[in-house]
Amino acid sequence: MVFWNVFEYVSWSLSAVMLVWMVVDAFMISSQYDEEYLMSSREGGEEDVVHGIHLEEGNT
Amino acid sequence: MTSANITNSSKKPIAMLKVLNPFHIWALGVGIVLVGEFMGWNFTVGKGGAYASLIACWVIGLLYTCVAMIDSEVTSTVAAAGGQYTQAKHIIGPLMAFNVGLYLVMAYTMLCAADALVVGDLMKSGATVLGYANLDTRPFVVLTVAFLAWLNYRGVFATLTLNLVITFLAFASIIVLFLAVDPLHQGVVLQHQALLTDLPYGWIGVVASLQFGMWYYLGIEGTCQAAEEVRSAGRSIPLGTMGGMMTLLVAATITWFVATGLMPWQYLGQAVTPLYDAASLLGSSQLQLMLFVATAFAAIASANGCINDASRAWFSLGRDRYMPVFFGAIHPKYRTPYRSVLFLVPIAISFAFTGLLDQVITFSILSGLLGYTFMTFNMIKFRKMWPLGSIHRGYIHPFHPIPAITLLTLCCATYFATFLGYGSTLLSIMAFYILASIWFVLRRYKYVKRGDQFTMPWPRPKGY
Repeated sequence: MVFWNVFEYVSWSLSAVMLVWMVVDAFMISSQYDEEYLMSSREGGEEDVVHGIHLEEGNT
Repeated sequence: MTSANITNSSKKPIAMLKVLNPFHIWALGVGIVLVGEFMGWNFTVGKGGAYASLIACWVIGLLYTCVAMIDSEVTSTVAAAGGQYTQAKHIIGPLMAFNVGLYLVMAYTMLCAADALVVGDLMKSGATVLGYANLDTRPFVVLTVAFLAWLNYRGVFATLTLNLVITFLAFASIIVLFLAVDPLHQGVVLQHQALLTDLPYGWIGVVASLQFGMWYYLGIEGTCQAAEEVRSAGRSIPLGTMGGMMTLLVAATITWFVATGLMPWQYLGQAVTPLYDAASLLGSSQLQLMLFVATAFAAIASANGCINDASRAWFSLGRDRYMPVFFGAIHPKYRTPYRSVLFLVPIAISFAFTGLLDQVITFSILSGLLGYTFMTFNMIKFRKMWPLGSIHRGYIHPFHPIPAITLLTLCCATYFATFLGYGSTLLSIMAFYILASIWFVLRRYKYVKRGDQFTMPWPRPKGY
């Protein structure tokens, strides 16, 4: 059945396009941005963080 | 690195976007799980009969309610990606944290592989019905993983909004099926009086069914992986998780009620797609089509949530150097852990290409179960180290320590049930995690910067 074979090839092709897009984008980001910046996130480090406010210091 | 690289000149660290709300959390949790109502739960019937399945549904429902309550309390204070891994790091210690992180990554990656396999098998079933029996499932397995990884790569909001839509539609299909069987009039469509029997294997069958009872709810604990990306973790995580748990209890009970009223336990216990079979028995092609599409939606939603959760867990391990720090990067435009998303794609596809759905699922279930066992000790220690009043909690679960003790008891019962059916798999998985722990202690822990991993503004724990 030609239709189903085409369907399979289209699926392979779409998968390849998306995977290649992600790999290329990841390489481009690595070349454009400093590694230190890309890996600078810290848990609870955001300014608007609402957790971890502790009562010992009078915060509620 | 070249001088042309964009650097962090403002000294403000990069962070994931806080764009999610309680509905996204509901979609993440229920989305991962709901596929279990469409297939898999019915193996409980094969283990112990229809009533054993109902007992498993509610007993394991109690186990997961404890999981949801404990998770909601701890995550409402530890609002960071990594979920239970981060909890273990703060409350127990690095070796437990490493193991829990590994449980999470393995459980979600394998579940994603299993979901992709289901999508491939559904495509083949659809093609067979339309007259082509030789469809190759592999391109559809790869397409499922690739598309969902691409979506996860490009942003969490669109990813979980998609999950919200397709999970809601899949849940709605269960409600429609329930209404279609005329539930108020026994004997018209439903034949419970004729089909329900005594326990065919006695109470040992009930115990054995507990293992597959986890299919009803496996993955709801994944909601806390989104803690770093919700607008208000203290409010959204408990709301989304507990709302999700209530949804699943309703869905699981309806699923059992409809399926056991239409099919004898001997058939139901080995059916591949019991809800689709139930729709087929009603003789409505529209219902059949609806359940076919809903099964596909549920599998896609589950795979989508699994990629989201596995990548956050792997990202957190990388950020704390428990794994190579390379994986702790965040995409500057999409604000996602893009390297972790990308890294897990070939692993998920490799698991899927083995075609060993049973083994993959069993590994996933056992990894989850190990994680739930950890939660009991975690909760007890959390309340001792940070008693009520010492730290802000978005949610406080009631009756402590009864939920933790109940959870541990039910975990032990489920280990025994797993040992009855998959003893060698259970032992080999334990051996795998022991070897991984030895590797971590001897080869990996030296790279962990102990001070850097604790950046949460928490008070000093009691007694330290």
